Amino acid sequence: MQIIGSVLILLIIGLFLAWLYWTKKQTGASAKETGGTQEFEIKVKGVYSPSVIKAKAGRPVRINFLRQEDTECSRFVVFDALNIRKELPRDQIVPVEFTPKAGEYKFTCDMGMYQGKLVVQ
Amino acid sequence: MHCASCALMIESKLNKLPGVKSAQVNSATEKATVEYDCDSCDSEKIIKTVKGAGYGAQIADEETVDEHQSQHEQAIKKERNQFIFSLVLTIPVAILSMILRDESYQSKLIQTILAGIVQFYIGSRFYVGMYYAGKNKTANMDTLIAIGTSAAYFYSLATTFLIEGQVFYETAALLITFVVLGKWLEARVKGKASEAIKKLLGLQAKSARIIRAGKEMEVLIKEVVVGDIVVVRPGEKIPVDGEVVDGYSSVDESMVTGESIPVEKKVGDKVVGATINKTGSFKFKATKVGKDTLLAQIVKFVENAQGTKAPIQKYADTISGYFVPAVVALALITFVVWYFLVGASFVAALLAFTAVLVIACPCALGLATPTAIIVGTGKGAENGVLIKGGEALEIAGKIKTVVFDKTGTLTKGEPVVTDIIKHGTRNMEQVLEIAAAIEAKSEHPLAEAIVKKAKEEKIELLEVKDFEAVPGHGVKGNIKILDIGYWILFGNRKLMQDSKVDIRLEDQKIGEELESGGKTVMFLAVNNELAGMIAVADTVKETSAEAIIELKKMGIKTLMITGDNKRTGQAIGKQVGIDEVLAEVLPENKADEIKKLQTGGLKVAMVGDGINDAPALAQADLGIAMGSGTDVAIETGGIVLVKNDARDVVRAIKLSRQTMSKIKQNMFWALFYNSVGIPIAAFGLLRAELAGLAMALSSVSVVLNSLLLKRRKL
Repeated sequence: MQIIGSVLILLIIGLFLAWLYWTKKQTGASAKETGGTQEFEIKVKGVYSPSVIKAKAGRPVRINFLRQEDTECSRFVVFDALNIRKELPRDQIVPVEFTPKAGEYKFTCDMGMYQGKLVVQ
Repeated sequence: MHCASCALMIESKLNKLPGVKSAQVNSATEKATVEYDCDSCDSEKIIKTVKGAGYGAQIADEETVDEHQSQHEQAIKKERNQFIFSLVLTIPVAILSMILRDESYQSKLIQTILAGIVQFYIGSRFYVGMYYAGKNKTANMDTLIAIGTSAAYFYSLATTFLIEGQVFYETAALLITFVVLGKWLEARVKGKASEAIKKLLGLQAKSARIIRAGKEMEVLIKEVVVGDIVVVRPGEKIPVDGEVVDGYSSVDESMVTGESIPVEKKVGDKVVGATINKTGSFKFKATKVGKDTLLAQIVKFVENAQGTKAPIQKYADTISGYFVPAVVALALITFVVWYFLVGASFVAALLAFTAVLVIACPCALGLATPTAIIVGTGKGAENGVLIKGGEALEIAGKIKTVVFDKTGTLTKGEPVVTDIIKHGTRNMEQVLEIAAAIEAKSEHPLAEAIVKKAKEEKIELLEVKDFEAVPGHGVKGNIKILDIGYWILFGNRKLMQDSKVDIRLEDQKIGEELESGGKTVMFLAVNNELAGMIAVADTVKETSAEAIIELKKMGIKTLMITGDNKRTGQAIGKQVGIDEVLAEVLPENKADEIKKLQTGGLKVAMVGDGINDAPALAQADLGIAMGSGTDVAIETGGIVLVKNDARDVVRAIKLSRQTMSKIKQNMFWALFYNSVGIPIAAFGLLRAELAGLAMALSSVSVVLNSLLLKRRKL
């Protein structure tokens, strides 16, 4: 029994580390180009999907959020580094527009439970 | 509009209109976006066209806040109804299992059904959330609740129909009920936290009475354009920003400035939209409408501030990102340790597993700073104190030194001529005449006082040639009196010394005496010979001394920075009780003085008017820009004071300290709760449903704690 238990614990830790490795390695979804603007659609339901997106630096980015749930958690999306906090009314497309420099921009819900990032190269 | 084809039809009609560059109609939002040439088309024509096609149309609101609001209220109602429904189903389950302890087959069957409805109907949202998180190869709070309750429910289901053992339907049902309760409470209190913005937007008038083509008419506020003459009657709200052109009244500006005493308004005075006219009627010309009004700018400022996080929050966010998967791993380890290593029963191991899953609450951690910032900045806005965001709040709480600019900040900024001293052959009137002529070309605030005095005395201004301003020193120029040209110097001692104008000892003494009384003395030289002196004084604001006393009580060092000479500066400093005076500082050197103060490692705040002091405000750790109610340079400074009152500096620092202490309390509570709660659950010391209740209430308690800020006195 004890051996099985120890093996299981190691397995759980291993799976957790594998998940960590996988999240670090995520490259992100690419943009749809519309007239020079890099456009993304992010569905807000339980999580941001996709949660990692990638864009090119120095060109305008438009991220269209569409929230399809009622939970209070996800009512706002916050881009901390850009001082953007937008309300996401249910079933309405809310665009967030800016022109990023190279780097990583995190976006979260008010509580930081929904997490996403924009990787700008 | 019924369908997409209607949208296309309207679109093609609009696109055919002369002057329209592009038109897009969205059938889902029922909104049309039309780009047109102002010269050959207008909004009325567009609306007519849409109406001609058989549909209704109006200009869209820029702010659809009401709509969002009602949607949000409905969401809260839905949460409440779900909680009540869940509770009604859960109570019989709890009675059967916990009070009656009925272990008969019928009892188990009833519990299976009731708890099943809770688990799969009320709890369906958790499964949905878990599914979407899983699709993104991650886990969220829904994952925790779904796994935790499923473990309890499916084990009970097995013991009911397949194997021997206890049932735990009440654990699953109570857990979901508590979590839904938590969500409902959270939505309610979070709504309260962001009330300030709603209040600000609610201040906006809905309509305005304007005069167009000689006729008075009532129009919607969004139809008012710059230049319209607006009529305001007693008791009415002023719709937009403007300048009074006719009439006289007093206006309650408390909603924007926090100042409770009504302000007198006469022709030429500025009025602010959303303030309330008290006694008289007046007309004003609209100068700012829509997004440009002070109220709209305040709303935007506060909204932006509420989107920021304090730097302290950054590591909490990092934790949140890994929290849920880590908790799942921890819960699994808990189960393995209990069942395989300790040798406890399957039931005990399963319950400990569930408790760990549901007690962990990163929400409390995530809510710690945003809710405090939202309440703090909202409360500030209600009091005319606008805080730019989390960073400004955090620094304001740490300020140890406050530097005040003198003019317009501690003093009224409206200097008046107090003494005119003649010298030699010229009389007092001539001294004023020459000084006023040359000062009329200057933009210095003191110059204004001299020109004003000359106007009061009905003195006509002479013509000036070769005018030159020497910043921080004075002015030079040529004037002609009776066809004879004279070279004029007017300014401080330094200007006289540089031009080798002799000031005799007795004149020096008179000057020094005036300066010791807090007056600024300027010397007049005609053809390089002293011709007279003019003293100007700027009265200290009644509230300045009070503010300085309060700051000292808070352990903050106060300084005053001024271009005046030492004696004048010291005299004013003494009147307000300031700790130290930095005198004779040229405008461009103010930022350097701030830099010097910072070298000691102290956090320095600079208080100025935001227009002339921009570099010093930017250099300081915290720039506090002081407005004069109607004219706020809202972009400058980490903190903007709408009202021109030094006591608001005290309020701003107090509010920041209070907000920061709330953030720290919240962070401590959330971290403590998680770091203590998880081990307690892992050791099997806590029933799973109570763990769920604790989790639900932990985030609510954080929000409630932030709301307490509203009650604190400023």
